[in-house]
Amino acid sequence: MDWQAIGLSLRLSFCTTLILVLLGLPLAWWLAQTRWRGRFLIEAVVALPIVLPPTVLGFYVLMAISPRSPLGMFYESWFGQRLPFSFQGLLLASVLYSLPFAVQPFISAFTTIDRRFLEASWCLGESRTRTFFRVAIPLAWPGVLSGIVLSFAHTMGEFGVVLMVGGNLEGVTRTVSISIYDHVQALDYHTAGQTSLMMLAFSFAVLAVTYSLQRRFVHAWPTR
Amino acid sequence: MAHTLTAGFTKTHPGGASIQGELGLPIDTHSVTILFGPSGCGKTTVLRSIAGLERPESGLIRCGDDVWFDAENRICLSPQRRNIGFVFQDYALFPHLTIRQNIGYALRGTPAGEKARRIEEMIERFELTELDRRHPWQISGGQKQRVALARALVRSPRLLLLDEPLSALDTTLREEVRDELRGHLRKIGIPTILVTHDREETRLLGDQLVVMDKGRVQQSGPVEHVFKNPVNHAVARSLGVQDKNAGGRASDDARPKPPNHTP
Repeated sequence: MDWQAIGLSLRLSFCTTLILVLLGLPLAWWLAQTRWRGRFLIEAVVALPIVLPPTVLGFYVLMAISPRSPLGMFYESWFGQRLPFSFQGLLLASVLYSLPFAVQPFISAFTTIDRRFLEASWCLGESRTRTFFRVAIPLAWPGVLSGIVLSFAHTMGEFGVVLMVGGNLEGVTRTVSISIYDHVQALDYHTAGQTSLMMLAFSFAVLAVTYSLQRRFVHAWPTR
Repeated sequence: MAHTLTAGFTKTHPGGASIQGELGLPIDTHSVTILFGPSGCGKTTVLRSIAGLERPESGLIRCGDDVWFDAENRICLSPQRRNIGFVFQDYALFPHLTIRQNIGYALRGTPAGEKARRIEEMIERFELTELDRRHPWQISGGQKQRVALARALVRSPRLLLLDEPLSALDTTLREEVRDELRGHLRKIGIPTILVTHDREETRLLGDQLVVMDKGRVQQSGPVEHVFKNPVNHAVARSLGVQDKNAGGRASDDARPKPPNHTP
C-alpha cells in the first residue's frame, strides 16, 4: 500500500478544506446577503469547476503559476521556489477546483436563515460580524458541515487537476489517485487494489460518521 | 424638542408603494403610542424605519438631541447605535440558544456577575424561572412573548418597539396575553411604540394613537380622543366608530378584518 500517497492526499485535503472554510464562509455570506446586481457573475465563476473538465482548469492554473507569469514571478521572488509541480501549487489548484463544493452548500445554508434573526441581533446591539459568528454560523451549521465534508472528500478524489498542475513526484505531488493509476499502468494490481480498498473504506467511514453525527447532533433548528 | 422622538420621512417600496411616516412622541415619560391601521398601510415600515432596519429615501428622524436619520446630510445610524428594543411579530427568538442565553444575548462584554444579576432580574420579572434552560421551540406563544420582552429590555433601551406582538397567538390565548402585556408595559417605564390592527388592543394598551391608512398618517392624538373625534371617514371606518362628519356609523363589517400579517 502506498502510505506516502495516502498521507499526502490527507494533508492536501486538510489544507484545502481549511483554506476553503476561511475563504468560502465570508464569500458565501457575502453572496447570500448582497443585493448587488452583478452577483450572478461571481456565482458563475465559483461554479465553473463543476462544469469545466479538470484538464482545462489544470491547464489554466498551470499557465497562471508558470515561472513566466506575474503570479509565478511574484511567488518565486518572494519564496525562492516555483509553484508548478510543488505541493503549494497543487494546494492552489485544489482550492479552486473544490471551491463550489464548499461555497454552494454554505450559500444555501445562509439563504435559508430567516432574516429576522439577523435583524434581532442587530437591534440587540451586535455588529454584523458578531451576528455572523453568533447567529448565522450556528443556524447554518448543517450546511457548513456538508460543505466541509464535500470539499474534503472531493479533494481526496481529484485526479485530472493534480496530474496537470502537480505531475507525479513521489512524496511531493503523487496523491492517492495518481498512485493507483501509476500502479495499474505498471500492472501492479495488488498494490493498486490495496490502496483502492483503503480509500474506499476511509471515504465510507468519513461519510458514515458525518451523516450519523449530523442526524444525531446537528439538526436544523425549529424556528417556531 | 429635546425630549421627543420626531420622525418625518418617505420610504418607497420596490413595488412602488410609498409610505410617509410622521410621528412625534415624548420620550422622557412612559407612554404607549399605538401605530394603528389596516394591513398593508405601512405601519410596520414606519416602525422598521425608526429602528433603522429600513432606510427611507428622504426625511428626518430624531430621538431627543440625536439625529438617527437625515437624508440631506446622509446620516443613517445603524440599529446597533440607536439603542432600541425591538419585539418582532413572531418574536424571532434565537432557536439555537436557551431562554437564558436569549435574554443575555445583548450583554456580551458585561462583567459576569453583573450579567447574571441582570438576566436573573429579567427572568424573575417575566416569570420565566422554570423555563430558563429550555429552547424557544419548547415554550408556548405567551411565554415566547415574555422572553422577547425580557431580551429587548435587558439592556435598558431608550425606546421599545413592538411589531404586532399579539398576532402570532391564537384567539383564546390572545386576550390573556394582552392583559399580561398591558401589566408589563405599565411597569417598564420605557416609551413604547406598538404596531397593531386590532381596535381592542389599541384601546387597552395605548395612551397615544396614530392612525395610518394608505401609507399616510391620518390622525394622531390621545386614544380616546381619536376614537371619539375621527377626522375623516377612513379613520372612522378603520376604528369602527361613527364618522361625525358624515353622520353615519362606519360598520365593523365595512372592511374585512385584516389578516395577521403585515409586510
